[in-house]
Amino acid sequence: MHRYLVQRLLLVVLVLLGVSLLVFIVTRLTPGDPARVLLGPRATEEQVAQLRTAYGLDQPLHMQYVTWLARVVRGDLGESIQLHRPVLGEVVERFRGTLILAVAAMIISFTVGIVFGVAAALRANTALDRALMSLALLGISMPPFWVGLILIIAFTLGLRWLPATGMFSPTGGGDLQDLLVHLVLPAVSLAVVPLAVIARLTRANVLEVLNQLYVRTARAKGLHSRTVVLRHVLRNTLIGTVTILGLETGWLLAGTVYIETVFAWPGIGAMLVNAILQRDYPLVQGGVLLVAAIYVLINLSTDILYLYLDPRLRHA
Amino acid sequence: MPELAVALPAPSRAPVASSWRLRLLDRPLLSIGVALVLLIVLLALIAPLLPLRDPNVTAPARRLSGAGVNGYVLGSDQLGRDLLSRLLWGARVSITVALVAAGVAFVAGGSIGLLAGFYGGVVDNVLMRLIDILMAFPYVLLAIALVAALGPGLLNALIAIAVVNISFYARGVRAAVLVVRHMAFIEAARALGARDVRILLKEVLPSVAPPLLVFVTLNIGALIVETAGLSFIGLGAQPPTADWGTMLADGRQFMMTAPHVAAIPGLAVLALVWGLNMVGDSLRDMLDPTLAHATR
Repeated sequence: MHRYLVQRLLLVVLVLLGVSLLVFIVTRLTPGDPARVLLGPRATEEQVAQLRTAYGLDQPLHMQYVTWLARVVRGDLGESIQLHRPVLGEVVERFRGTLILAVAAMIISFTVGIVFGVAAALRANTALDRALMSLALLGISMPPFWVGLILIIAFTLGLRWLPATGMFSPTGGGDLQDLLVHLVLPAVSLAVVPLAVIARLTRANVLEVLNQLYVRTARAKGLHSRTVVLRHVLRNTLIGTVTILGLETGWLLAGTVYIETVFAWPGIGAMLVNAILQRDYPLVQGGVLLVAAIYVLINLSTDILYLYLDPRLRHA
Repeated sequence: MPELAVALPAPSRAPVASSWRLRLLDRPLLSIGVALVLLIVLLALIAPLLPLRDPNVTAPARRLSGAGVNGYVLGSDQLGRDLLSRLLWGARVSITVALVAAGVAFVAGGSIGLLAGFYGGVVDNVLMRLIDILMAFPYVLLAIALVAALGPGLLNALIAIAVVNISFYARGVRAAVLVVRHMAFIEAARALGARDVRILLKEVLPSVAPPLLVFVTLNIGALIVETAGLSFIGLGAQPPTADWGTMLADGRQFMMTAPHVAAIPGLAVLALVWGLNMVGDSLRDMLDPTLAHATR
């Protein structure tokens, strides 16, 4: 098991290096000389050459990468062109907004998804099962940004129940209740697709566990059916559900890009889209790097959690 | 999305070929799905032949008409353009981009998976670690990073979406190849003196093809949503080209007065992806009898 962990950690380091290289190359693919872009069209050749030397742009590409990486490792992600402030601070601040949204959506999708999935499996092939699974199939087919628009039309413009923009009210508010009220629509829009996926997966997992011999034994012992479901079925189903935690996180981080745009939610996704449209490359670079790093670390934690939940793997 | 994580069904050629017709009747989900997808694709194909208004002709006086008003079947948008016409012409753009992106991802990712699975060892290790790096990005994020480098536009969005999905196909194909790699018919071909290229193309590829079919159907749906998404946030199709994503973005600004302008293109995406998912689900059940047994 220790050997596995060491291997896994080494792989994480390798992947992170690869990610940084990819981000570096991708931003260097951008047409145009960055020094020329920064100084504008009226700068002389001499000024451009001077800036190129100052920024190390006259160095060979691999040297530029090493210098850049050394700065990144020290937490220096450069300065945003548009905001004139360090990228790191901006990115971390924006990430908080995304985290709140993603965690809320994750709680909704896991609780409701697991309840739906277990209910469908325990009543397999009944009207309830068919209804829930039809809903789930419809759910996985929904574009999240469209769900957001429909919810705004229904609950903000129609019923006037819930706000549709930002994290807090511009006038007053600012407390937890204000946040929660603003969180409902974006979190639900973001949760729809993963909820449906988890419901389908949980149903399949529960059905598989229900066919296991140990469940039959538990039943034969005369255990209450609730005890069988809670102690024998659900616990073993959980492992299957946890494996998609990593994938789910990836999907949520991606989905927030759209949802934050629809709801003007101050998160990293909306920030990235803006930064691209404004050609603020340091900000794009820093944002992509941070999100990718977090994603890799979450996947690592999922794998470790998996080891912990399934004792068989620890001895393999 | 996580849907991609479903275990790849073991390849089984024989049961699929037999009694196709019977199975189609047997499975309402498959019939509905196929009908829905065919209907949308057909309408998109014959759009130039239909008596539609020009999708780009504006009529400011009749802007934001409701469905059935002023002779607009589905209403008009903020410039008085015919929504039905734009929907069908937009379908051509959205479907084409998704299909081409899937094709590119399939060829690139499939080749990687084929080589990695077939040769194993160092080749497998190196190729799959590269795929791991691609997978380290949440998928839309990688697409966004690529569009950032290449600049917004439909072609660049297509490239980005194709690259993002390479890892998906590489892993899927590799998993399928690992199943058949040591089977007797491969050994037999080798014993007959067939070279690697021949074995890969004539033996391995056909035997992993059926599960790939499921893979592609499930993936095309995701690609349609991804294309619409990139256009929706302004990184895909640029005016005057309209696809379903830009139509949604246009409609978003007039949700208060004319909610149908935003609702309709989204419904189109939903209908097509829903149909594709029904087909994908049914195909998966048909190809994997053990799974079908559990879910039916």
